[in-house]
Amino acid sequence: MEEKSWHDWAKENCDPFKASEKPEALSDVVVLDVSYGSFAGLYASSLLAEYGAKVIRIEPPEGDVARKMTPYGIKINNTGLAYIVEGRNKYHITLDLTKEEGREIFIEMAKKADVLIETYKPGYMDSLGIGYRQLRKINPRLIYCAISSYGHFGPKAKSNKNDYDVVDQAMSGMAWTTGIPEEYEEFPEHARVPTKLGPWIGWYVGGGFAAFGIMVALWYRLMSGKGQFIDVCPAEAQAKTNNYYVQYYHTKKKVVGRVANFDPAVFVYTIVRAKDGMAFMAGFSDINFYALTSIIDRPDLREKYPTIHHRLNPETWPKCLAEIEK
Amino acid sequence: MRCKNSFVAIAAFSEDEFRGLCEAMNRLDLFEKYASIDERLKEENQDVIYKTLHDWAKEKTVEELIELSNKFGFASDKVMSSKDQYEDEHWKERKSIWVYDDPISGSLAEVAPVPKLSESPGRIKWTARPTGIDNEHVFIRILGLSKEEVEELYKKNVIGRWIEQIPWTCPPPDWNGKDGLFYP
Repeated sequence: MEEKSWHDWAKENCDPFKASEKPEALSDVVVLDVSYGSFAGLYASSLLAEYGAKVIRIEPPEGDVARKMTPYGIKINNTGLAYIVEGRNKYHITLDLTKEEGREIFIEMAKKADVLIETYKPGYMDSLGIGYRQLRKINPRLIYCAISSYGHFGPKAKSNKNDYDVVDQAMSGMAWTTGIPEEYEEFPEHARVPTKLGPWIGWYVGGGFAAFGIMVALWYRLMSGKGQFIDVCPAEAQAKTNNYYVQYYHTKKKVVGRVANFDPAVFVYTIVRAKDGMAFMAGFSDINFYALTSIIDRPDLREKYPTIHHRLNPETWPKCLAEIEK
Repeated sequence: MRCKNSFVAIAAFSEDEFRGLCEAMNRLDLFEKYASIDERLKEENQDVIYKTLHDWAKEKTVEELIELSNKFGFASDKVMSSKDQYEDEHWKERKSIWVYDDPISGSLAEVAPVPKLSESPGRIKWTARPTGIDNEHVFIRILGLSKEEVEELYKKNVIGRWIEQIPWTCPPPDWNGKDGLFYP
């Protein structure tokens, strides 16, 4: 038997208050973050910076436009809240990459860097002579991570559009399945629409997958000595988190529609109105639904919806929920 | 936002993009009035801009709006369902939806590995397998137990494999008992 309880061991060993006493995993990794107007790029380098990577943020002399993206114009020291959050643990420098002298310095930095993150339109860095094809010649170990709205190849890759979270969310398939269904006519028409998630989740999931790809590439470089090019499309990254929806279409040739606060795979499994707020409630399996209907003293509900097949009918959800909320 | 035949997302944060959007709407007066980002971020101004945008978009089709966004340089694309993703030409060329044949379960599809790596790319090789099908491959070949030790573990019920009475543990009924095995 161990002397300490497991929970005490975990607290002692993972306690963030002691973080400063311990080494940082990525302390020998140098990252150049030249992302512009993209919280996908900024979030990717934030994650690496939290674990000790030396992240050098390279902005144009007038600053990254991302500094202006902020709720209702609220700022701290003239910088938006979103950028304040994603500026953590990074060195901030400026360099005008449209000027030859700026590019010369950038190339010197790229020679010594492990990772480069950029979010310009596909081909822009290449057209300036500082894309992956040029930089890998002077630094074959460089891991070059590019994040863009449509990725760097495919018919839409040449589109002249910047990458924005709301468009990523739209293309991800998640907006399609989020929101109040068209057939819930008790809600007004303008409320029955595909709905994006509140936070910039397309950008953030894209950035998370970018950081994951960078870590995979760093591991591969340990084995092979080679760097590589990483093509991140945030909409694809967010689509990757859409459960089984693509498989559902492949199998049934039907799409999962908007399901409000319900889940097509589980019911009861939803948010219900309580006396003083909202609470999550689940009672899916026959035994759990029996328990739930016993607790609320509604045996009639289990007679009406006796099996999971009855309970997984979309028409059941709002009606049964309304009864539970009573 | 709702348009004539479905839903689209529109983004025009920078000055150039907002000007492009206003030109597309034939409402350059809006650009002149709300030229700075700070002005556009004010709640009361957002209301005015969004109302104009919604009224304009609902008279256009997805295809018209995407074409206008290409022409005038603001970001826009369709709110995509899994069907749209499955059939989209751009996603097809990127193999973003990975359609593949699993040796046991047959034809399957899911979102491809993200991100795409030039030197050591991800791939999808097989799907969930019947319970315990890889016991021998892992315990004998990888972990190094003997066949007898593994046999003993089966006898003691420390390990097991699929049981007909529990259908979701089993291979499909038409499986030939050979395809997709890693051992021997």
